[in-house]
Amino acid sequence: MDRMEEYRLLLDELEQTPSGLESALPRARARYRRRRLSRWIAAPAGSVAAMFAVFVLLVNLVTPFALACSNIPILKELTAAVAFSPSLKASIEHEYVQRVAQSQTDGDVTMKVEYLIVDQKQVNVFFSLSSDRYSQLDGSGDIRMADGQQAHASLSFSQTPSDPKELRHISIDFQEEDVPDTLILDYKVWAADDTEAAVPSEDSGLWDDPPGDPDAVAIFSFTLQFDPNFTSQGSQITLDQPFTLDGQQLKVVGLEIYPTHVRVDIQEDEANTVQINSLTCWLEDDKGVRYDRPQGLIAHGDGGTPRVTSYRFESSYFEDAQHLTLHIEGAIWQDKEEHWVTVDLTTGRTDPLPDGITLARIEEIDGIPTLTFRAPTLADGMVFRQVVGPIYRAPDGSEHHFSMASHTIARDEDGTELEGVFEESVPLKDYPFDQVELEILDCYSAAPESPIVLPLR
Amino acid sequence: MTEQEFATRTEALKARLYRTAYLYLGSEAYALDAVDEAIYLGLLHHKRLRQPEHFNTWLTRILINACNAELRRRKRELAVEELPETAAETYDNLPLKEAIRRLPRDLRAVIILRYFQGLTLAETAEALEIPTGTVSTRQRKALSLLKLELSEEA
Repeated sequence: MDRMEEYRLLLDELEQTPSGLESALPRARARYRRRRLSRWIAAPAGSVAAMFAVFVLLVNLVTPFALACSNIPILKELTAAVAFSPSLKASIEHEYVQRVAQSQTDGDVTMKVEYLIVDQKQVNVFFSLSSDRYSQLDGSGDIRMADGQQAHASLSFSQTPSDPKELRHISIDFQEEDVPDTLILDYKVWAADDTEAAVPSEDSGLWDDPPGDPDAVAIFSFTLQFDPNFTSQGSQITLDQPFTLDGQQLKVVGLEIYPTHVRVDIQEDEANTVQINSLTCWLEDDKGVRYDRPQGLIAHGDGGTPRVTSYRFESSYFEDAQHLTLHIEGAIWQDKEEHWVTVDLTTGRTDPLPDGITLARIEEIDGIPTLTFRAPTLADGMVFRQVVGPIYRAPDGSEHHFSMASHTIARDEDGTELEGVFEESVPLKDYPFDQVELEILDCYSAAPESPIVLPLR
Repeated sequence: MTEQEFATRTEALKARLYRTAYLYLGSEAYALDAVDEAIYLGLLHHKRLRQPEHFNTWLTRILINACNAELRRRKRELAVEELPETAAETYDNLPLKEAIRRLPRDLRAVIILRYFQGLTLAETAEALEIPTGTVSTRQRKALSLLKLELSEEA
């Protein structure tokens, strides 16, 4: 057989495409919609100065602990759901779990709230969604106090699990107030219906009705009551430990240790020439165990004067550590002078932006006008930072608070990652105007010559 | 480009994308994964494609990036090594599919796009972001190594 004959045979062979190729487009569409729904980390308007970062960590689930727990049937699914959280893993290991087992069905969807991990400041809800009709379910939730009023807490949603049987996780974090005895969790579910996503044929017309914002296929409302033995767990120590970082005066004013996380409260001197945007730091206990920053909410500012920011770490609660040491390896500083720019939402025209920051696009995501800015990453280990300030102003003079922000690595049109650039997207929810004023945070990074090591006593 | 236009064009192109990925990666499963990734990334960025006439080369470029990423990822597992352009006799002794897989990466890309995905010289140049003269040169070298007597015209 000569080469040309081989070529013709190879062409014939390649004409046979696998059946899996037929559903390549619906698979991509389903993944696209899952990403849109799951990439948000939500915080209510009360969390004025909340700073968020989403880190995708490749963590090996097969740790000795995970193996040990996998032998306990009741905790197996829960162990898988907390694979990325050392603090929650430790909570399960110490049987610090409240079993709930509440179930509701709405239409074709059943939601079961299975477990809670609760302490004085945080509630972690673990639940499942199932349906005989829908293969892929996504959702979003909100919380209210027992009297129906909005609760002042930040919500973080974990990524939608790839296996629908896996437990899902919502973290509810209270800043000033303690976790109450009762909370109401409202949860709305969307579905990616396989039948709807069937491959369109040429003559049937392709999505005559282009997919719009998904309608909820189920709505649930669960009243969660917490065991007071759990909601009382936590301790706070007042500290007065000043230190200097990059010529700026700072002071550790508090250390709070809870089963689900640790908070280190740092106050900034009013005379400082710049303010902290974020810190690269970690904790170490007297046994040499290291506690890094968690996923989800990593810091929360009180918005007061002088500024106090509460930095979150994985918890030392179950390690029974006698002492904790704070290691600071770098900081991102932010200009104290506010830098407001006006954005024309119809043309995308903006006032000049700080060096390196650009408005990448304005688009509708789930029906909400969303602005995406690109900015350079500033320091190793802290890829994302806050680019847009928490408040935005409308032409009628009213002020609004961003309820969400999301961060991703920037990609060019070919899908190739742009090195050293990330994107921050902020949605203008319920915003009828075609112009908006935003505060752009002008930042630079600095690392001390040697890390600052601060025993917290 | 709207999502509907993206879907229509993708449906028409997907078989050619699969053939390209299959020749790059040598396995049905890996090729399907690469096509999935390319379509997903295309969907993610389709609104930024301002000139729909470049759709085919744009999505092909995304696919090639996805294939190269996959090849980099499993570089250590790959038993197949590229052969140098000087190993003409070795190419003669290999089945065509295998010989294509072992071409140097630059030559392989040109051969796959030109003779298996059916892109023109100009489209291949656009997809690979290289001058058409370079495509011609690489095409000539690759055809010669593979002992294929195919048209070199656009």
